[in-house]
Amino acid sequence: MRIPKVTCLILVVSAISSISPQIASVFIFDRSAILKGEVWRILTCHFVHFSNLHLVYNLFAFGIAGWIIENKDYRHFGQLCILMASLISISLFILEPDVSYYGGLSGMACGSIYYCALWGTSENRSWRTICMLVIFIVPIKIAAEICNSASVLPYWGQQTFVPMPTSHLIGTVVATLHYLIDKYKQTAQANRSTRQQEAWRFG
Amino acid sequence: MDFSRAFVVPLALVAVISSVSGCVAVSRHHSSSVVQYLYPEQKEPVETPAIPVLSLPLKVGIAFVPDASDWQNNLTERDKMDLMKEVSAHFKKYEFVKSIELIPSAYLTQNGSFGNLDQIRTMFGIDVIALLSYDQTQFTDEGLASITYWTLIGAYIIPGEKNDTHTMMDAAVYDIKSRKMLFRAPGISHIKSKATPINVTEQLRMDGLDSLKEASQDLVRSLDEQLALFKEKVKDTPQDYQIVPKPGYSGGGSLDGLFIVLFSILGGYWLWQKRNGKV
Repeated sequence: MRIPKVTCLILVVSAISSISPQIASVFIFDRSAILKGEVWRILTCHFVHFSNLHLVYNLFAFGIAGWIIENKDYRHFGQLCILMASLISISLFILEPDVSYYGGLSGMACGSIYYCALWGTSENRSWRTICMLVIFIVPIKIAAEICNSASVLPYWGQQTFVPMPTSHLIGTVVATLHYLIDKYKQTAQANRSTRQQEAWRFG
Repeated sequence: MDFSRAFVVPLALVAVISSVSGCVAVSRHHSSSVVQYLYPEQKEPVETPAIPVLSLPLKVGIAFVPDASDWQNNLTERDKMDLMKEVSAHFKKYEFVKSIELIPSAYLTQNGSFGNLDQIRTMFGIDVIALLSYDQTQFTDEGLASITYWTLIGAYIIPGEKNDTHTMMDAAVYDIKSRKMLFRAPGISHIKSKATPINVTEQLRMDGLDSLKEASQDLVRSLDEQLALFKEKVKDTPQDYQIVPKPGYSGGGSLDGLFIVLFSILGGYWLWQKRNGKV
């Protein structure tokens, strides 16, 4: 089992920024600060968490998803993380104008687990079954969260913020699009090499 | 004409005039006190504040503390509203302030204490209140030009009255529910002017108002500094202040139990497969 570098990097930075309030205040999604030009917050806000429990939940979830993806060699995980981080923040900036502050890795965790499940559909039967289950459950759960404007199950511990299911939705959509583009490229490449082989074989 | 007639008599006249019209200093003092308003009839004002729970964004109220003296006749309600507008315009720029209510004087009772603030909190739906108080002292001295008052017409056209107006304005920001003062900011002003005896009261009234305006501008500047210090204080001593964001203000990407179970199943199954060599 190899060390998942991207996952570990994100987990470590999240842990550090949650320990240090100074780093958290520089990293957090702060609408007024972003408008003043502190655009790095679009990428870094996902590392900030509002409580220890919030941090533990998100690190646990993202850790599992990232670990599986990197060990299974699913493509372009680093690229996916950057895309999810930026697009989740930009979407929240536009779609949730009342939200002044945002933090948390859950949108990226949701996207990652969905990405993992999508790639898992082309693997062995038992793993595929589990992945299909994830592909089926995650959208239903996100839809329920958006309809109720709250989590489906109660949050354990004191919640000092409003859960943002929009981030889960955007993360999942970005992951799906990234998977589809990757899959299309992979298929196109496979077709091209098949054609080349056939052309070479038949003269 | 001998020497004594030429010099001594005019000098004596000046001395007499000076003793009658000059060297007369008049002072006026007007003030309102936050302590008197919040802790009336208490020799040792001791109130045990609770830990303030600040739910962001805040609804802020601004009010002038009632004045015990008859100075209120000079500082009209309109003047107070104008001054409060200046301070409120400064608060509005902060994103953690949701709304600002200017509380008219009629809603604040003499020695109303926190009971009165609770009523205001219910009526206006505010969380914190900035109580404005002031201390103003005005001095009027007669200068050398006041010698012309003896010509009678001089009292109408020569500004021989020298006015000094010293003002200190103070904003004390209280969390009403916990009865804790969050921070305070002062503003000071010193204005000098001259007037004829005929319009000295009018001039003093104008100086009083101008000085209050100047002090409020200074107050606004120091509010910035005090607010920055307060933010640091909240960060450094989280045990003393509890910040609770209102719905919609602070959003977090969080996962509930169902997600955690789902992730655990996926991770557990993958580990099981890996251990059994099925991957």
